[in-house]
Amino acid sequence: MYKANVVIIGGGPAGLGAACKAKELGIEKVLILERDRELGGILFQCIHNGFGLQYFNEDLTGPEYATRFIQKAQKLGVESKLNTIVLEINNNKKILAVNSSDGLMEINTETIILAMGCRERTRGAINIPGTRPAGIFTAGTAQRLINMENLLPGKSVVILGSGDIGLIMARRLTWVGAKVKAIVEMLPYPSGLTRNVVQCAEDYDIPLILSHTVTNIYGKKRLTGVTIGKVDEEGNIVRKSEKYIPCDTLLLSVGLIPENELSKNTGIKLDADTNGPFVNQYMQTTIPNIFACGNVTQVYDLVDYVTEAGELAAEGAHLYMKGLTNSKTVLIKKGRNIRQIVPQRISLYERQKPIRFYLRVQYPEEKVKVGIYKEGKEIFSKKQLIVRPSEMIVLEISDEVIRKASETNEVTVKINGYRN
Amino acid sequence: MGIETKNKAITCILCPLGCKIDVLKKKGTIIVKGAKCAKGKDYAIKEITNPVRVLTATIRVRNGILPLLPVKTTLSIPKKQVFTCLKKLYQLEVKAPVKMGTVIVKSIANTNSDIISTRGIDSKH
Amino acid sequence: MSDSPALGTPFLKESRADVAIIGSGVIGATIARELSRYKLNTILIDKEVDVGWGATKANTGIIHAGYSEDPHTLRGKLCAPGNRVYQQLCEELEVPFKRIGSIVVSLNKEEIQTLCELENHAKICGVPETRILNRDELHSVIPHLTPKAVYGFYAPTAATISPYGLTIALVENAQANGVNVLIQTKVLGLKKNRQAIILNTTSGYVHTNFVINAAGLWADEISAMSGEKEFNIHPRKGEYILFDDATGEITDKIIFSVPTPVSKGIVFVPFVEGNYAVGPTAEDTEDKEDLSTSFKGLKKVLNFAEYFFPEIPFKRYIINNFCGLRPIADENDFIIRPSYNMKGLIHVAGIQSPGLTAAPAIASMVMDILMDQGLKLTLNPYFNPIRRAIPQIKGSEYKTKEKLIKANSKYGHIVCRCETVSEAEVIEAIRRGATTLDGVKFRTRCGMGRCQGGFCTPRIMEILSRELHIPLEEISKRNKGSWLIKNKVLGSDNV
Repeated sequence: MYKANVVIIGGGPAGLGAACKAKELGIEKVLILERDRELGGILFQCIHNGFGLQYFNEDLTGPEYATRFIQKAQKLGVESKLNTIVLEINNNKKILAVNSSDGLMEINTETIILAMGCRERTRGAINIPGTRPAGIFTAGTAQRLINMENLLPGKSVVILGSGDIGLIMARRLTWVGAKVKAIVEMLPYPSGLTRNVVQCAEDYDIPLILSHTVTNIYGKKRLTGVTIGKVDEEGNIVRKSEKYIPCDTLLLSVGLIPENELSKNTGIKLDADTNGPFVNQYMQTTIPNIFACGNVTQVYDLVDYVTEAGELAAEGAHLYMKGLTNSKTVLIKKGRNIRQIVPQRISLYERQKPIRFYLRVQYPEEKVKVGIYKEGKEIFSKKQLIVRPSEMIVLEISDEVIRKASETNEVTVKINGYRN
Repeated sequence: MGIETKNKAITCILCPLGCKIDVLKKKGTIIVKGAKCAKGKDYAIKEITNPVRVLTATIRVRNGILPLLPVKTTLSIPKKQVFTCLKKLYQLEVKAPVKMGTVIVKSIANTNSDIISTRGIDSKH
Repeated sequence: MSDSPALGTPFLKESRADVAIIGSGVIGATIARELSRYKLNTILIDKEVDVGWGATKANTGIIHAGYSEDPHTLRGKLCAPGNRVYQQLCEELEVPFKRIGSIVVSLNKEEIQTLCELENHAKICGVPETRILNRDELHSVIPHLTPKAVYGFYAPTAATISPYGLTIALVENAQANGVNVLIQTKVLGLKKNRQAIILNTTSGYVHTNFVINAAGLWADEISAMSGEKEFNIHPRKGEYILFDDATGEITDKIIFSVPTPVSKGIVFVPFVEGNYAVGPTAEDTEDKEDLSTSFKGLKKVLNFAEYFFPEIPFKRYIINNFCGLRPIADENDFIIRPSYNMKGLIHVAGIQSPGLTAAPAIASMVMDILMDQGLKLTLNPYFNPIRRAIPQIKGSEYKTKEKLIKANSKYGHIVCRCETVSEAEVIEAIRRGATTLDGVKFRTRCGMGRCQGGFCTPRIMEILSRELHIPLEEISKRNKGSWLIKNKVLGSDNV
């Protein structure tokens, strides 16, 4: 029987952020359970730069960002178990995990921080018809094969989805000698950051075909080609718009899904919009001693935010262990053009520090303000020249706004035009 | 280069607005249209005169626990040098163990930018 | 472990057998196991790199109760008897088997007539305990069912099974009892001389007294090798959608719509592994290798699920779609008889639905034919009906898990996180004959879960490479043509 004060499930950026913060707060036994062969999560395969601009004010690559936290965690005395899978959580504080060196482990812990990250949506999940040949990979799997295993999945590639991983992989494939024939995006605008559209697709004259999707897959053994078709506003394929592109590889970058099977089995309430747990500003789930952070709560666009979420979760666990409870809860409702928001509720503590909301819109809009409303009255707003679903909006609200919000049971966040 | 006319449509990457900027280069003068701020104008000029990029890649590792070592340029390098640099990197092989931040190549392709490792890799045994 | 693949060496020049079976689908495999009860030299031949990769691989996995088909046809006659022996068969082979029962749901009162007809078939065919459910009964058994459902025809003996799991188990057991298995071997021709039939195969010649033609979609082509094509087989396409087990329980019974003349219709089936699937469509095609799904077909089966269970948001639970081809003979019935042209050749063809259910009954019919044709049967005193499944971490008791890991620490290393499959299970699957990603998948469920191999693919490739001593870049999805890796990124001629 093992014992810990905090067990963190997942050693990616969220889990590492949480672990370091927990040690800094003086929590004694902090244990990370990591399913992969090393800590760092997906960061070691993300060899490109663009990480850490917010958190470190430096332009780092994924491996550098991960290494900084791994070294910090080691220095602080964070313990970890690698190649370890959590099988179940019992009574909210007993974790059953397994690996090959310790065998089955029962770990008793005061608090748990869920940091399992997310997985990629697959071909099956978007239900593309056609054959089932080899040569269809999610962008992340291809990234791991190319950047870590030295294996090139194919030479002539179509990428479905213009999310950041898809765009980054388009450049990567070009750099390692493959031909990217097209990046196909179902939406009328790119899903990834502008920087990546420019530096990954435009730089190498890779066509980014908007309002199109893959409509069929060909090849009995290995992929031989795909057809793409135009998508109308309702999401239907426009008749006779289809055209065939020969290729040996199809990469899918069609979305990420928070991995919450464990959370669900534990009885944690999930938000249908984020696919992650309902949390408060300290990332506390609906089970008081279980916290969640990073991409398990919602898919973030920057790793820096993921780290911050991890740190908040550690603070939450710390408060919980100190016996500090919250007196009241204010629910955050989604208003006009808000797709998702985290946290979904705020809990009122005696001492309150500013709260950051991370949200995404449903569709792009220009010249807007993002506002928080209490019974129809604005209590906070922030102007934005443009909002896009691909870029998260961060709202930081002060103690004063929190106090105003706390006079009711719920407030609404929405996007409005300037003039409204 | 200086005498010919060059026309380019550029998407600004400096802020989420993503301005579409038209840049016209003619006999040494540069005309920028569509930038909503001064920074954007500078960016556009740089993109047409000497666009630069950070290069990240992998090189082979001998006797490492992993077959590849990720590396990057310490500075941005001219965009037109990207493939030249990649070609040089793909010839290389280093021996494990390697520490993060190790200089692998000094001033690659005379760019003044070094190539450094972006992670550590232990040796196999 | 041995260095050669566990499914026999694909190389021989000349060999002898008493019986050669062409096709290692569930039919060929069941017959092979039956033959292994006797002192015989039996050889099981398949053109693929693994067993059961034809029609067997992609179907509903239902062991039908046996009321659906005309009782005067072989399909009608052999179904219920097949169903009756499954329980014992699955116990012997340690294959998961769930007798959950099926319900044919009618959506209007006129269809009650068809339900009565089914009940009549059930009586003639000896299907036990069937009955018609009224509206209240129906909805109390299946709470999520559409309110439009008015009657149900309930058959408690229907069951579910993994058809490829069963086939793999049958082959393993047959092998253990002396049957030779020859994979990656295509039959090119049959020739009769005075004593024997000579099979010309891509792996050499086989001299045999009897040939069982269980070649599925290609059975007509095998029959043509006897001098003349004795029948035609055409493929009938069935498209399916597979759902994540995160749907939670929707129904614990198999749900059929009222049958049409071409098909038992679309089925909503709780797979034996715990998740749901819906399908198949029924569309006649020409191409025997066309395993493509279509927008239209997938829409049709998804509509079925959505129509019968309107409360369930099926779209968000889809994890994959797939297509299977059923081999349909001209007369729309099974063809189980000696060849008219070549003595010693026995056709077991046109084995469409309910072929999986009927398999044991078909095998016993084939044994009768073989005896009629002069095959001498002496019991094999060493025959052992028991086959052990690969022990699994998932679903086992705490104590069992502990024991497994203690005996082999690789049981503690989980490589497929969606289906909780350990490295030890993958290694054992390879030892038992898997040489490809799909081979591992069908033996262990690695890659069958919600991430569809996104996470485990590189890991399984690594284990395959290590265990089979082949370079990583030569690991394939299911055969040579279905390569996964073009070449090394660095260190080859790539860049």
